[in-house]
Amino acid sequence: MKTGNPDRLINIRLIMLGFVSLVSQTVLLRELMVHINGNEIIYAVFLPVWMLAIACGSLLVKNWQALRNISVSFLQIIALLVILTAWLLISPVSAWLTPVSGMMIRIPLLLCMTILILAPGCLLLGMMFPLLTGRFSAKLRPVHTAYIMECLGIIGGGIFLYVTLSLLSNFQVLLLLAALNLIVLFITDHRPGWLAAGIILLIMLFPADRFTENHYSIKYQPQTLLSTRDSHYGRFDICLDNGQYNYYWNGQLFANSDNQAYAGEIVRFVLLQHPQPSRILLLGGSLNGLPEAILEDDRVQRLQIVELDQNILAAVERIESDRLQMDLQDPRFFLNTTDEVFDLILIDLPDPLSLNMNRFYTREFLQTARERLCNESSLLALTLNNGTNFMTEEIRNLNSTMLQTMSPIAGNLIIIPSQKNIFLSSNSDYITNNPFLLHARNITENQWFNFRVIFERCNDFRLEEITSQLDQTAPANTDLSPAAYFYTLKSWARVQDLPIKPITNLLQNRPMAGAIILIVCILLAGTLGRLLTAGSFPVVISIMAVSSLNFVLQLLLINLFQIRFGNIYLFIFLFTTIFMCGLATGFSIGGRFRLPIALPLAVNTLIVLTMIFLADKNLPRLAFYGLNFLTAVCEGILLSTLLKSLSADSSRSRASVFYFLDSLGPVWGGLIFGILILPVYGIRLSFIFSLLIILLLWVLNIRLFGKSHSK
Amino acid sequence: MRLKIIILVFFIISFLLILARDPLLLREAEYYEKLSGNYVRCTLCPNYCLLADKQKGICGVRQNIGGKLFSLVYNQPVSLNVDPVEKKPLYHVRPGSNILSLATVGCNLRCNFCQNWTISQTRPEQVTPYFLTPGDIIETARENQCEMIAFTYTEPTVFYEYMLDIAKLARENGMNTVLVTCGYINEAPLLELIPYLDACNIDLKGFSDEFYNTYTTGSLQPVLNTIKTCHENNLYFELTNLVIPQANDDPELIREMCRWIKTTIGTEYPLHFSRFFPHYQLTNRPPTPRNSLLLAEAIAREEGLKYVYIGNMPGLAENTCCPQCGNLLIERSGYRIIINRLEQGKCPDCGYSIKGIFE
Repeated sequence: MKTGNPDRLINIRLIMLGFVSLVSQTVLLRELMVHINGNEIIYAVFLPVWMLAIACGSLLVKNWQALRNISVSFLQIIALLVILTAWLLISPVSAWLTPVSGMMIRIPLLLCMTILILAPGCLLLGMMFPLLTGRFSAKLRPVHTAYIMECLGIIGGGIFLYVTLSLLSNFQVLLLLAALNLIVLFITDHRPGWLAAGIILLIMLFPADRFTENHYSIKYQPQTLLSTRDSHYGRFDICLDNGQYNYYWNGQLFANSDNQAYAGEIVRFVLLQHPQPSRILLLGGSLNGLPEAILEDDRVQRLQIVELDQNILAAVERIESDRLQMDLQDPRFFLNTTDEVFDLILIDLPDPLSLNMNRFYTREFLQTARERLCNESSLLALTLNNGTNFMTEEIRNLNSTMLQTMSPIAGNLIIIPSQKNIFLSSNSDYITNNPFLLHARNITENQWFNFRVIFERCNDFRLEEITSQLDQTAPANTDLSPAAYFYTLKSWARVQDLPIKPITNLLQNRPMAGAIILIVCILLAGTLGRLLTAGSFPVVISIMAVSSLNFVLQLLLINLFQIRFGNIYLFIFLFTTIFMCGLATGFSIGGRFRLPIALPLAVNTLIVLTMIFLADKNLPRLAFYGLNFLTAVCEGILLSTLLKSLSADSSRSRASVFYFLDSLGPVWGGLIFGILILPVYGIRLSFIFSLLIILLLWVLNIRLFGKSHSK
Repeated sequence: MRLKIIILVFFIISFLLILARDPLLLREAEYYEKLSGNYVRCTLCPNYCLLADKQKGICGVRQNIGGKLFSLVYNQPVSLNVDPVEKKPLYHVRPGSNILSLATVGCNLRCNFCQNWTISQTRPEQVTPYFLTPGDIIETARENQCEMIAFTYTEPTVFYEYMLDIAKLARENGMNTVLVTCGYINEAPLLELIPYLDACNIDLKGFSDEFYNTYTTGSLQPVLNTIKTCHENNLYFELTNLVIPQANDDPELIREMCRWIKTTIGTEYPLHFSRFFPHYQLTNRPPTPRNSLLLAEAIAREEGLKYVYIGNMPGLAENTCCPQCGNLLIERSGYRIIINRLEQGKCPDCGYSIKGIFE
């Protein structure tokens, strides 16, 4: 740095660090998600690897003397190159690691791939925080300042992503990120070379679109990739395979154009249950031929489709019918807010393999849907995986749970074991799974739906198997106790050959085991942190617990928000921005003022208690934003106070240790809560479990600060 | 000394537990060799599992207990349904009939695209099965007006003893039995079974060892041997080839398969090209496009196969036409039989005899 205030230039660098971290993390995770045909559970692999690598990078600076003199500009350029290379490598590496294309990728392989792709860039980003902090000339609170600057960068990154994600491809976003970095480096270092390189990258943005499409097409070969479009929710790809259109959502096949057999059967079974189905609401299945099959019935006067992503809706628009009406909205939010009523609501969605999807299978949602039915003969239909010819224990539990969930919704509930189980709920006696009645009602037979299909699906064996095998005492699936999500997760684990059954059984039967596991994990993580950083055990464990607690609270708040206001992907930027503002504020307050540690802890306790009692209430958006901000402020104050107690020989070492612990905390918190506690115990109990972490913090900090305060 | 006592007690308890087991649920297996050191080698299928004491075979349902091989699924079906016979698929076996279909858990292959993975990749200890003796199965078929019984869904070879006893009893009771198999069975057990079977559907999953190795953990030759054995022993069968995009849909491979069929067993056996749907672990492979199935059908017809059908895609190549005069004999729509013009298994127009069981 040749001119200007050196601290100001470091501030800019730190802001850029936060900016790069968030943008590159989001883009690479989205890209990985597409290439490993993943679902949201896979984030449980991505995020820990990401955070661990950052933590390790940070710790390297403390323990590896040679790194201390390295040029941060050089490191920054290398990090950007590594991130761009990682993007380019995702496709070939995933193709190399999965010779059988279209196969579910096993977790160990996925872990290897994630480490290979994400770890190098994260290690470099992790190193930069302590290195930059160590170069502050100011003697007062360099780590505090650095942390606040990084938060500001993350806020900027969130806004940047919100604007660019639906306009540019992922690769273009990364190129733009690299160009901005080079321009900033030119400003800080005054090297014209950086500016020239930045401008070249900006020019490259234009042909990059074509390059991206060619790059994506590798994944789908020998199919032809017709279109690929990104939105806030993910990527929607359309491929052509020998005359058949295949639709991919985040790389996962979810529909195809030649699905008449499925659509014809499901739709007929459902439409036969209503004497005059004129107004129909369809949730899901819009590209699977269901709309066409519904519109074949002349009795249908209006078909309403609700889709979340404009790219999917654009693909549905090819269906030409003046009876078809489309809405771009989160289906749950649509049902919460619409005044329209329907004769029939058909829900044909993927299994609830995420809390996001589970929102459409809960009693609360189905109750809301029931309220949008126009009269007693109206009906609600929901499809669910039935394991084809045999239900495994997990599929049986899932179906039992849905039986219990739907039972109180209306007077009658029947199940038709079709290609998927169709749950039909109505107050009318008209609904039936009697094959003779259905056959009598089915005036026009075709190759997809005829008397042999009806009898094959609704014969005594199948109907009896359904009634005899489903457990009448299964738990219902609710917003706060997502039992359906839990069983779908177990089913997925079975296909993955993951031996989670013993641990989930233990947790289910003995909630105390969950508490013990949580505490043991905190202590183990604390011990590991202590060994690696040589810091004071209570301080080390407290920093990790605070960052972990806030990660957990964020996770829970976001899921609650999602239940009420729709898919979180659109709002995640807003949440992140608010959280980072809160964190920066808290850190600033904690750095400037000597606040009693009990204050943020008490506020955190209050927030958790509030959520325990109000979790099922219809809190307004503002309440979520406010709680989000408050938790972040508390985290900021707590971390800032704890940071002062972290002993180190230099600000660089302190930054290194602090950043390491702060990154490591969310790893175990996210893993334990995301994989075990949340699916097994649900949202409300998870809040109660989070109280355990707060309790631990109370105990530790009374010990830590009790003496100092008394002095 | 104390350790020895513990080991002794352990073995005594194990032995008593084995004795205490319900003999109706634990049936000694038929095809295996006793080896030294309490080892056994199962000779039922080409996997030839070498099993130490307590060890189970690849199928997960045959276990070495104290130097003897036992079937763990005898009398224990988990899936029991009445299906249209066309679903098996068997188009030339009593068209329009219903068939009682049954399966136990377990399979000797590990196909990553298995449609019935919930049965085939499940182990006996993971399920609560029905308890149905061969006599009960016959009774159940009668109660449901089924004159045929199908061993299907998973690979029936793994419940060989149960299947054999049911087939024998069915024969005594004038019922037909059908085996729906991947063909992964050794010749000796197959020869013992054939006299009690009326028809068979053999799943020729692909026509290369590479495909079998990559997607099923098996190999091609044993399946081809099974087809030849059935042909040589006059067991009526139909062949099924599940066409999986990017796996076994290469037109040249399909042509090669059809040529092998033509030269080895002739052109009279029906061949079904079935549409693949993503299942189990191969969930991100798209379903087979209609055009790929039509191309496969065209190739098979070009090669001279007389009865070529497309399955899992109602409305496509479902009908049976007379290979001699070309007239329509059986018109199908889904599982429905719209028209059946066959007279005693022959074309009413030219008298050509259609291979199959039409009585």
